[in-house]
Amino acid sequence: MDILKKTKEILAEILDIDEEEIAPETYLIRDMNAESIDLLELAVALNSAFNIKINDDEIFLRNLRPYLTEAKEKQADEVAYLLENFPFLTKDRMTQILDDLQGGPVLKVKDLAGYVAWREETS
Amino acid sequence: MRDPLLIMRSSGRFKDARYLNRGAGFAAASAMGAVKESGLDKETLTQAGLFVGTGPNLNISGEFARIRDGKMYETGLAALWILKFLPNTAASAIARLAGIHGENATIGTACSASLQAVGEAFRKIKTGYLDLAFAGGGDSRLSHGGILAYKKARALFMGDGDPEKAYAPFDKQRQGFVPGEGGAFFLLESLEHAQSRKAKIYGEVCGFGNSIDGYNMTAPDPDGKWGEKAIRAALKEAGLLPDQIDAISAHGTGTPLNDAMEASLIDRIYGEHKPWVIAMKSWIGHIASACGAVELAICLTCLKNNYLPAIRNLKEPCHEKINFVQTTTDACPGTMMMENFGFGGQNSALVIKKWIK
Amino acid sequence: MQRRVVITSIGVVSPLGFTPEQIIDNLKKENVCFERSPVDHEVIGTF
Repeated sequence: MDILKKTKEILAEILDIDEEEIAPETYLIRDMNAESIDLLELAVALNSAFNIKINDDEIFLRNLRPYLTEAKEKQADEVAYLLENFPFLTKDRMTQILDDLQGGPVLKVKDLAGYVAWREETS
Repeated sequence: MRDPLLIMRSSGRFKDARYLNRGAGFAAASAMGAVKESGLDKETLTQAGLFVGTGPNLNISGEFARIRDGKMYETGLAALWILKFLPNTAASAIARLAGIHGENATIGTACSASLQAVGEAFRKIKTGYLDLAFAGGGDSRLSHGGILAYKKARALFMGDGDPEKAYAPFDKQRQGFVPGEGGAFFLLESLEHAQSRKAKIYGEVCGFGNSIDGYNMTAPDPDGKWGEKAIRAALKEAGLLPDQIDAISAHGTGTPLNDAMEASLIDRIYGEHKPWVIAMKSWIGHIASACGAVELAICLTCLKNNYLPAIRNLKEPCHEKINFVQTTTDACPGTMMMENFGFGGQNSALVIKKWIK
Repeated sequence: MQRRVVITSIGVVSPLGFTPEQIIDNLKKENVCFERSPVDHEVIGTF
């Protein structure tokens, strides 16, 4: 199954928007105004579509900022520290995210697809 | 069958539509129709009240988890599946879509619910708690569970033959009701509020009455004693005597029990005055908790157009002293009594007047 | 405080139509929609 395509289909259905408006680089919250209940529905839908366990905190990058504070307090390498908690993201993507934090919630469509692919590989 | 959510989406996207059961979809679609027609600005809408009559979601085949061998299969159900069953989901959706934030109530008094919703809105405005409010309801009982419910209760028409000839309220041969679906909402305003913004006026609400039988869980009290109390209360509030009511929109479900009770009730209250009696369910089916709202929409239209539609399929009236409208007439009623009675012995009555400038 | 109350908007989704104009038109033309349901073949009112 094409993970990205299926993820876009699910997002289009849940957020009531056209699939054509969704790209890998589209932000869930900044661009598509996803709310907490939408994320709840998204987790249920991804779980059912791909038959994988979804950890809401991981996939939606919850606690990203507290982890970052922790890393700073421990004087650890920030990217490496965060990757331990979000192992489905690449180093490049994590660097990008850290540069983007000022702009608001960083979660993008491609991160969801990345999570699904990672879950499928590791299960 | 039309999809109420598609009707609603035609005026814009609404992701929370996924949480509306079919009845709530009709409520939201019709409410947004009333909001759109009102042309009210954002600030005024924040002050509006919201009164919604709702019924249960009986879609047992489409929206329930399968349970087999002690296991529950929930595939396909939404994370917030509960919202399809909460009675106030329609109100929540309408408030969000329209930006309404005033006093509100969701009313679950079975088939009298949406007429009661209009009555409650009327009272809040009359007594000054609100200047304006949206009120109405939406319902559908055409799902497997809806059909099952009324079939088991022996209230449904079960006969053969032409579907268009099935529904015969107040006929001696009546055999129960035909379920329907739909929704209607109204903007009610104080007269001053309406006039100050030069709003078009469809009609005036003059009185409301409400009571509960405390007799039987489904059947009406055969004497109609408490239904009579609701009707007399509505008359009193309207400051009208029974002989000042020109027409009655009867509940007229076509069940043996309701129509016998209602016909003798009408005879007892109005006696020789004999107002016209119409039964809109013979045209649209029984829309359960939303029947009162949809019937009110039709009756306001009839008042405006000087038109009283015949009770369909009524050949042999079950009561000889009632002036049932058997042939459509271009009569000019000025006052109308709306009646709705529901399972649980719920009674609601509303007096409306034609608006003459 | 006792005030008069009027109805100034109607939103309707009904078997007889979606506007007062459609409703009166369908009443006059006797356009009703009763049919046999796919569920158990009972008579239902729809549109």
